[in-house]
Amino acid sequence: MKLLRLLSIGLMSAALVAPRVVAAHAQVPPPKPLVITAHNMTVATAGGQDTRAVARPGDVIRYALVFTNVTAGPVKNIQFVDPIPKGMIYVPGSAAADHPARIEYSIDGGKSYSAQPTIQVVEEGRKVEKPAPRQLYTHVRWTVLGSLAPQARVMAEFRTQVSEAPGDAK
Amino acid sequence: MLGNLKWTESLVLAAVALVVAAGGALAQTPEGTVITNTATATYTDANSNPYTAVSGSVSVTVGFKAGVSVTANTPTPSSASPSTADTMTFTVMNAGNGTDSMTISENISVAGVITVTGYRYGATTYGTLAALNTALATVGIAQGGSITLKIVYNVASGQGGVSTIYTLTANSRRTPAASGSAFSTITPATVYGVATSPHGGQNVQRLPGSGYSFTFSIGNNGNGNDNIDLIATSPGSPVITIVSVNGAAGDSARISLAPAASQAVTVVYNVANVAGGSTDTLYLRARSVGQPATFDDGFMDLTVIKPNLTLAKAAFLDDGVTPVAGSVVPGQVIRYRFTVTNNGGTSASSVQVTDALPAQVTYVSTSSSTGWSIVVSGQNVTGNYTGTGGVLAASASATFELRVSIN
Repeated sequence: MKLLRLLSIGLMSAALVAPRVVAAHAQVPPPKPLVITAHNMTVATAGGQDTRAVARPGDVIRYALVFTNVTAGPVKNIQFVDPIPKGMIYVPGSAAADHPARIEYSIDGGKSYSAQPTIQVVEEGRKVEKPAPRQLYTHVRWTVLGSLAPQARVMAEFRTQVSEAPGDAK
Repeated sequence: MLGNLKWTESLVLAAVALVVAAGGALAQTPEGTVITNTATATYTDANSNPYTAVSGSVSVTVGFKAGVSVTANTPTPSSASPSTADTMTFTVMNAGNGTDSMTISENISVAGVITVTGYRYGATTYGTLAALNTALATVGIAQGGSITLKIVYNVASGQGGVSTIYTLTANSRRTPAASGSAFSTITPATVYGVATSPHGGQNVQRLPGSGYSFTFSIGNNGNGNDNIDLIATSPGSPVITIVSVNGAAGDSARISLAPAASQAVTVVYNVANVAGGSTDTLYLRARSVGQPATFDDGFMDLTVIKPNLTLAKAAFLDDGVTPVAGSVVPGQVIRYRFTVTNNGGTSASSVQVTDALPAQVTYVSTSSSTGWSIVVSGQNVTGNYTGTGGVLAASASATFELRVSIN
């Protein structure tokens, strides 16, 4: 998947703690293994210029998670887990990756995952299963299939909407 | 876990509640809220040795989004026409996600029904919208907060049943394109009233005849437009026959009158050839169509008048003064005096007297004929009244006199 031009929004990243970190060049800081960026799609679609730090209720935010293999050898079993931020609501069908990956969701705070979470409701006295409403989604998980060569990158993305009410999202 | 996740029933209500909340009118995420997304990634090496998870995060700050909601607390205020100092209230709520202030505007759909005289906010009534907005410019309304505005207005007269819609619109001062509005519909109650005049006292006198007319005045004393049925009657007497009402053949018609308006309505009628002195009354009822129980009867009193002639014939000696009291002898001249008197209530025209003289007398001459045209042919006498234009007024008399000799 071609990467969209991402905007840096309060970017932070944690240091990789790994036994075989690739030694960085003396003048070039080592790449961060996981970088997350956010992009206000609503402002961009509307032709706005300022898509940086501010989003309004109802705006759609695209999050991109880029993992770089900073080790000397190939890695595998790469798995992203992203709790949907409080104040955001997952946009159904928006989770994707640029490598083959299995995408699953949790509606119970990350305890369990499913490709299609459902809930059980009672209709006319009978229990029926319904797709879980998007407000219930709490986590997105990508399990990347195959291995990733040194210095290679894999990107996962999903979209959320700034909730109209504080109680909307989990 | 790869299988579909199934929630227990105990969670269903909570889930449904969340869905409802999402569609409800809750306040939006407050301006300034920082939403941080932190993700983690785990991986292993080629030999499946796990490595410590790595994480990253990014933050988004929620900006201001305007929202305005206006509610009409008195959607159908009760107002009379005319009335003053009526009120209707609106609540303007800040449905945005941060503190905002409002600019108020208004629209009145039908002009002339109401006049807004003041805008009350808090304890102050402002005379104009501009003054109100100047005051509201410094009134910060917190997220989810609201203000109440009371609109003071007068209702003009003659507006019964006329609806006008007053719409109040509030615009966000921070994002003027964001607005909300609500409206109240003001329909002053209709008050019905009709008046018909005159109410008798005319002492109208008419000869028997056709095509007479009498004009009534019909007024709408209510406060709204009304249709008015006009019904003419002449109860209890065969004297008056109604021909038309306001130009419509028959005894009824309908007109429309604006409040406070009046209209002349003519009733055409005939008078039957009945005895002089007969009386009748022509009624015209004006009845509100909007409220049929509301009506007024005007009426005209009419008396039938006719001339009433009497003819007196008297004999005098030839001196013209002495009545013939005893016997007369052949060759004696006497005078016949004819006196016509109009004892009726109106003048008489074409008055004519005819007489056949007795065979024992012979016409000699006409001794007095002022106001008469006398023709004698043999024994037949014909007198036509020609005085005062040939019209013998009521209570007037006319006399002519003939001289005859006894055979």
